[in-house]
Amino acid sequence: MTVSKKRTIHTVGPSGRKAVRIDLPRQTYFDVIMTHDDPDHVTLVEVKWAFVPTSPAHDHGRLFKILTNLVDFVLDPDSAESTIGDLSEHYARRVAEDPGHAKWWLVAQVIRIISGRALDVFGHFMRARMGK
Amino acid sequence: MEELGKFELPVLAAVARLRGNAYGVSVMDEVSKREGREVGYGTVHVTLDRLKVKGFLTSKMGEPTAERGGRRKKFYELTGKGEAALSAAWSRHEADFAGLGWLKPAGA
Repeated sequence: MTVSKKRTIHTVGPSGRKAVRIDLPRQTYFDVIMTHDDPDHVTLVEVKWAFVPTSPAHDHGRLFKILTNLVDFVLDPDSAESTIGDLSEHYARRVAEDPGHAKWWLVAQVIRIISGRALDVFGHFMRARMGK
Repeated sequence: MEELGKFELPVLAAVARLRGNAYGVSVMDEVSKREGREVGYGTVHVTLDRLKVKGFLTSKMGEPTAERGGRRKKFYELTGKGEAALSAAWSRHEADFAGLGWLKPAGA
């Protein structure tokens, strides 16, 4: 992989080896293998030992988007909008207070919302079957 | 009259207490404060929905706010049936504790 030096951040990987990190969605460490004739470019090879998760803020945002898409899919539009707004308001507070557990909190809330909806649908279905 | 579930009563009471400002997060905070323990948003959301289906609550959408990324709040209000259910639950609660004047509530 060849990238512009301008896009690279020189750093040290978790094992202490010299590496560069480039600003990609999956921030992954690369080893510098050789310098091209063009001094502005370097050739990079992905380093398997040094996968680095994206920044916490980016991670929180991405997880929030994935889970709220699920909520959006399951609930009716008005409910989904208010629920996602509520989750956004409270999740921001939780990330500020306790970032380590905020993700699990969000996952648990979304599971609860979706399972509650599924139980309601199942209940309606059973009542309809019984003719009530 | 339809009975209120164990968790439905504090949620309905929180909506009544919040008068006009009862939406998901404020109800969750109010219930957590009163119950003295952390209550999950998902549980409150599901309970509010159930109370609405039972006819104890009604809802209306508010205005979009910046702090919520432009999303609107859903405000809940008690219906006549909800008020009656809450009032009946209170009477039942008082009846349960009638004659126990010597017993003080925990923490009093």
